[in-house]
Amino acid sequence: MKIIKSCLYVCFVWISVITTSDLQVAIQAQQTQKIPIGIVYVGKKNSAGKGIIERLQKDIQYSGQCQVAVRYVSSIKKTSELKKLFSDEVNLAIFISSEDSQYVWRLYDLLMIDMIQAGKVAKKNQSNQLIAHRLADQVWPALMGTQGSFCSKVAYCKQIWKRKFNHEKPYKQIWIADFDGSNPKLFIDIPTVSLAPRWGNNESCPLLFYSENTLSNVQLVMSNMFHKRQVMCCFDGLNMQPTFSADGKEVVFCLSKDGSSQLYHSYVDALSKKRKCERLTHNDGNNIAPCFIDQDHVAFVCDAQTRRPQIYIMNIATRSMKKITDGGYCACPAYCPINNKLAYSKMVDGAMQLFEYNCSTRYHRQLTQGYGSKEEPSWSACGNYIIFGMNEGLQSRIAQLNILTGKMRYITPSGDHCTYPSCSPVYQEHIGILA
Amino acid sequence: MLRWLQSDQLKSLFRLNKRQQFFLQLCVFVLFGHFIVAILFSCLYQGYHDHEKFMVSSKYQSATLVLCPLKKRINLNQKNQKQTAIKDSKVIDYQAYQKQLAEQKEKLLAKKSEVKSAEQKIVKAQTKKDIKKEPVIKNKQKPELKIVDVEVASKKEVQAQNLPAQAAKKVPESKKEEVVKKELVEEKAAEEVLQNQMNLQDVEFVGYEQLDSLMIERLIQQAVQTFFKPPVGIAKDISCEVLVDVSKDGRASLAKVVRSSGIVAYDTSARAALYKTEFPKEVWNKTISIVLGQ
Repeated sequence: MKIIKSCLYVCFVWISVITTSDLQVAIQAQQTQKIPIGIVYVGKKNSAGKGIIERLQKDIQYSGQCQVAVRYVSSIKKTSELKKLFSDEVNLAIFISSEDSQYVWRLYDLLMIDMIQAGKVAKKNQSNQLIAHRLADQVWPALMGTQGSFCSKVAYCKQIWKRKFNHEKPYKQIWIADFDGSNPKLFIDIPTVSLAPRWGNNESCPLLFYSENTLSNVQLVMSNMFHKRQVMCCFDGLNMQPTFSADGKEVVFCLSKDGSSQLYHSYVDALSKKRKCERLTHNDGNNIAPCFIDQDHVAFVCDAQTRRPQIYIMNIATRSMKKITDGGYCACPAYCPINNKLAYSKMVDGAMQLFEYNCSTRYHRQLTQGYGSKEEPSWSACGNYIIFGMNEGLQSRIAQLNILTGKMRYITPSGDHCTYPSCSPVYQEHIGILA
Repeated sequence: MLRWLQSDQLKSLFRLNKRQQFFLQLCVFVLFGHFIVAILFSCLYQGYHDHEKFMVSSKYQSATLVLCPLKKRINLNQKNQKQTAIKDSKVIDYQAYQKQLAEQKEKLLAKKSEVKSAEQKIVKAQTKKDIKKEPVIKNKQKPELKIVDVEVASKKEVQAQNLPAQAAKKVPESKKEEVVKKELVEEKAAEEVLQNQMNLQDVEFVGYEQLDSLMIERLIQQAVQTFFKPPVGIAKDISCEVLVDVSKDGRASLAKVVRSSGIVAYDTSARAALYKTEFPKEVWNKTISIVLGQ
């Protein structure tokens, strides 16, 4: 009888399972909001902890996608206490605690009281700001599914006026600031014009390349983060704008020793194992602002064919050139490997505007509008921001465009004349001026 | 097989004779067979089991839905399967649809016949002109006479047009207002008729089961959309699928992410919205799968 009963019971359960119909509904969001997120510092409240939490709050809120609330608690004994820390609106919380030589973070889902992800950042005599940036860089991908670039730096030129022989002379210094323009530090301060800084892409060894005006030419100089400088290239004319391949072994740069500016390719020869330099472009126009797209292709600006600068993509191996822009005055291409897009400036109604070119779909899109010329774009390491120089009349400031929200903000003060911004990659170690 | 049924203990327990014993054996055998078949069926069917899908194209948001009451469901186009549910579509019966279709056809035919007759008139007039033109070439004085005739006719027409205007001048102002009011009412009625007219070119045929599910989907959408607010700046192709157990009181007792969007903040906002939602009665005590997209 027991067997019959159990058989009948199983049949009943199976039938009940089969008869319950599940429905599938598709719903589209009609409105968006800033996601409320909580940050909880667990432990004794001290100035270091407070500094880190405040900076982390700013970092998480920076993109305009999150609204962060902060709480300080001495300890948490039960998981049920987690829900009581915030209002019902907050469903995600980051718990940060200080242990011996590291800060530990845990991302919690407050709906289910479930830990999603955890990580740690070593203290290693790093500044509170840097620790906060490192925490943000680790938390952001877990939270939003995209890379963070909170540890990256922005290098830019700042024009100053100095009195020399009873004359006011303009000089250009190079400054390095955090990704949001905060914490600016003077990096190159020599009595000349230093311009067009570009970061090396070797993540383990941060280097900055820039050009210096001398009495006879504009030479290409390299500097490490301890202000040690070395001249890289010193031909007649301009020696400018180096771009590095993904592996860092190949360099393309501009030289104007033969009259007009031409592109040159420096690489290590496989046979002789010696560094060689070859001229890439052979035309009577100016070829400037190169940037590597991949190991074989370089985007650059050339005005040889149309007498108006246009953006071309060159295959380094075959030397074949392909024009990707039409009409107008196009300049300053910058490539982002994360989204496979090329940002550039184009003259529209008398002002330079930012455009993006999708290398996979070959589709151009205008990113900015309105007055003011937007020039020299540079992608952030995460691919979510473009920083650029914004010229309005005599003023020039560095601005940042959020690609996700379309919002623009200035990252340098209004009184300063700043140009040539360049975003660094996220370096593994922050040494020298980066620390 | 089933030897345990022939045991003495069982016989003594039920006190069965041979015939009864045989029927018991038969019943148990049939039940056991059914059980085996059912398990096999469920195992095989698991692979093919699919959720009931409502997804209707956003293209058909203002389309006319024609209910075919004798059919459960009619296969929608593949395009429609991808997209979102209807919002403001109008539902009509199949008979009403056919009536309206017939009316429209009649109107079209009438228009065509009018056009044809007009064309015929034009052709006749042209042929007459051609016929008249031939003697004109021979006799050059006739056209002058004709022009005079046309001028006279045009003058007459102008006078005829001016007559009602002159009459209107004589009509008192109170009557004028009445006329204007009547015209306004007529215009409004015409607009209402136009609004009520179904868009018969953009028609989607649905079975009664489909219509029911569409209605339920609409209710669920309305309920969830008020609470679902994903983060700003997320890519438009992002979506996540959540399996929701709706309890007896219409609240979500469990919301489990089946297919993640890859963004924790997005998935959490979707789940939070579903926990806040009060679901329509039609899905109480059921499990529903909800795809939340941008």
